[in-house]
Amino acid sequence: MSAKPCPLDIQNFSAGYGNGELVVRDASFRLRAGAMTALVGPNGAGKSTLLKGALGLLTHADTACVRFFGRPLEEVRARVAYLPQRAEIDWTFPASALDVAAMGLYRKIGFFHRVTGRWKAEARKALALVGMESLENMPIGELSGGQQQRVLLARSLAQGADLLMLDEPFVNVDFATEERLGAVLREACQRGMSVFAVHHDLGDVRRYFDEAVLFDGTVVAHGAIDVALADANLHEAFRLGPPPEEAIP
Amino acid sequence: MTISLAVDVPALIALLCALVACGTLGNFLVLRKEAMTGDAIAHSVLPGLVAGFLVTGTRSISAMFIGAACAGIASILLSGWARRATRLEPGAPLGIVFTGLFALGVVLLETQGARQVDLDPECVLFGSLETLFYVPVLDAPWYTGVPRAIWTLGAAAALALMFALLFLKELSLLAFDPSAARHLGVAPRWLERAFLVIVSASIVASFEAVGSVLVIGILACPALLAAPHAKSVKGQIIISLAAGALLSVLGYSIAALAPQLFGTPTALNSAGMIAVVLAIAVPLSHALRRRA
Amino acid sequence: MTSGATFDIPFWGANTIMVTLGCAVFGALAGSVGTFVLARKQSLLADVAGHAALPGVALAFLMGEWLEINGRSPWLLFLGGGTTAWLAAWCTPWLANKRRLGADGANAVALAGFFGLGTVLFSLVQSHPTGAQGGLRKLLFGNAAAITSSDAFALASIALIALLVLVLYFKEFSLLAFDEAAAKVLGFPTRILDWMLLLLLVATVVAGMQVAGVALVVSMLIAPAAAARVIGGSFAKTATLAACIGVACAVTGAIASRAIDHVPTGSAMTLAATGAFFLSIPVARFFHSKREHVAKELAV
Repeated sequence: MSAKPCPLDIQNFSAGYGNGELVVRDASFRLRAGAMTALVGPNGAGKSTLLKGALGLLTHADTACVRFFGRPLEEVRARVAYLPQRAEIDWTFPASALDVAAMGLYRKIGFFHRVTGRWKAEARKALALVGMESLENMPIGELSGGQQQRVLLARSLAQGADLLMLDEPFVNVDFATEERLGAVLREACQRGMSVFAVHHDLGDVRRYFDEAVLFDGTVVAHGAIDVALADANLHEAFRLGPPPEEAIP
Repeated sequence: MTISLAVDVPALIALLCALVACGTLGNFLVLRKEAMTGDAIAHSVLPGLVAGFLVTGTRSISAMFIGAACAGIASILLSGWARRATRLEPGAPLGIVFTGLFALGVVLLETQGARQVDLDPECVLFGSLETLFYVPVLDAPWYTGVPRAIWTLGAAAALALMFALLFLKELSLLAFDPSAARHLGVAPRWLERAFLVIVSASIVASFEAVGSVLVIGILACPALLAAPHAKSVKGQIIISLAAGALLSVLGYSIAALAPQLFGTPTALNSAGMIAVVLAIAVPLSHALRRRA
Repeated sequence: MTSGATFDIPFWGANTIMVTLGCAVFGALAGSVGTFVLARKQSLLADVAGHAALPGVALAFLMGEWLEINGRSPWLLFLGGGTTAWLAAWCTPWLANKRRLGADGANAVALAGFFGLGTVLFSLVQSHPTGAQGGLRKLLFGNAAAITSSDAFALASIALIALLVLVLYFKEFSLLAFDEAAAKVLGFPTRILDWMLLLLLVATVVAGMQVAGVALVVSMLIAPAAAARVIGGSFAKTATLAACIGVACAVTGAIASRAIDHVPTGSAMTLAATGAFFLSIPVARFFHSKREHVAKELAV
């Protein structure tokens, strides 16, 4: 294989919630393979909508404009993993860490088959990759916020994903956990995975990510962090008016 | 108290079948935080039941089932559409749609002569456990005397249990993380629809015998009281069915015994008593867990 | 057609007028209280409170028989039904938060428990020699035709008092519904206000139980309010509009059930209210597009 195919290629993509208003308008960008890319923008810019729309989780999204690894999503579902916002998941659910990791294998296991020892071994391997193998029998409700995120990550690894799409992975976790989670994501990246995450904190984008997509209903800028998050772009996305140096004639 | 073979045994069998039919699937409703959806379906199926009856003119099971399942699904689709169109809190469209359909059912029942049959609104709410008798027929095999409701309920219980076991992992993922379930293609649309159809079928089969009050009780309460003690979905289903069965028998016995204790002549409504026992058990079960 | 002609139709007796007026006041109360129920996301709690009036009514009847006072006095039934409805409205949030059942689970448990108790107690009432044989069905689905003008007077006065309280404390209640934390910070007694709102909900249930029925009173609480909310406007405007829609639905229901045989009043009111809600969606779309059109013209 010469050049890696682009993990996510979006051209003129629009999405909304079916009430006539478009939340995402004409967005276009191509992710760099093997990089960690942050999706940054103001509140209500439609970052989650972009993610969900691209994954076909919304009824009103133009999924024909979205290609994963050069193919439509339907052909490469297993290679794409999605981690919803923490609040969207019910952590009191009666399941152990191993149960959740095994969920990534359900498609491979198929209908009418039970989760047998062979599959459990595979799920255990995924848990080991995120350093959670010692807690496999722990109910997920008793894990810390960072451990819960790592279990979900193990689920994506078990699934065999090459592209990881995360919605606000660093929200509501303490600083130490954030660091560790960043390291785990980085490690996944080094194994050849591409990471694409909604991120709300402009202050520490540089700490974890290589590239950024600056987004405000549509793509304002995209590229290496320093380029994408240049002051002029930020002022445009966050509607702060023209940046000071331009204001001076 | 003496157990009467002709009266108590059919009632208890019907009760346990209803518990298995509704209680098994109720676990998934509770895990999805949709316990009240069960209540909504239980109310909404009424116009479908009556329409099925009116169209065919008989109490044919299939016609009433089809009508009821259609009404149940219509209520979910309609309230889902209204929620998206209005952005109200999810409870409001659900409440409006199911009370609307229920009112329509009551009107149909009261005006269209269906009330001459034994399907009347009070029976729909309170059930008719007390009227399930085993009537042995001379010169016929034993099973001819078994009330029809028991056959229906038995079939519904088997269907629900089989569905839950076959799709255990898919239904669990759908409840835990619906977006992942849809994204991975693990839980396709038809599975979600099939779930609703089978829930509706269980509810319809149950509420002729036990009434909609107890249907709400056995859909939500066993699962809720098992939740604090379960470590897996399968475990929760097993605990909920076992505890639900014990408590139902307890409630039934209280309803049968209390009048003798207080010396009043009439029997208490057993479906209502079971609902009360189940409802009281839920907070107790949670308190037990906190103590432990 | 003159108004006199209308009154010549035989079913417009003095009793009917009184009952219809009672229904109208109930409708106004239900619509406006419903606005707060919706804003506080308590639609299904209202359903629970409605059903929970049943055991109280049965208890009141049994107590009345036991004490040998008139067990059918509307005030006694209001007191009984109101007590259990209030108990349910109070213990459901407790179950949801303190027992971690979640709003949904708590609603289901309380509904099953209270309504179950109601059916048990009613099986006692019906065995009573003076027991109300047909009374249960009237209570479940409402029957305006069966109530006397003194019943109507009782329910109208409860509804009027509740409406008065609602109007007097309107801005405090709206602050509580909109932002409870802010109300607390601003020094309002949020606890007391919260209880008062619950009492208003209970008063609506109690006023409506004979005409709308305990099983269906919830729809009169949420459907008119939801319709008004969909059409939009400020909170005060929404509440007023909801009250108007409530009156229209209640009166339509009362008249329809009188005109058509065997139609329970509660069912007729509910169907009218459901219709109003579904009508509000296209109406709101129409106004919305019109408003957008005007906005565009202004922009040009």
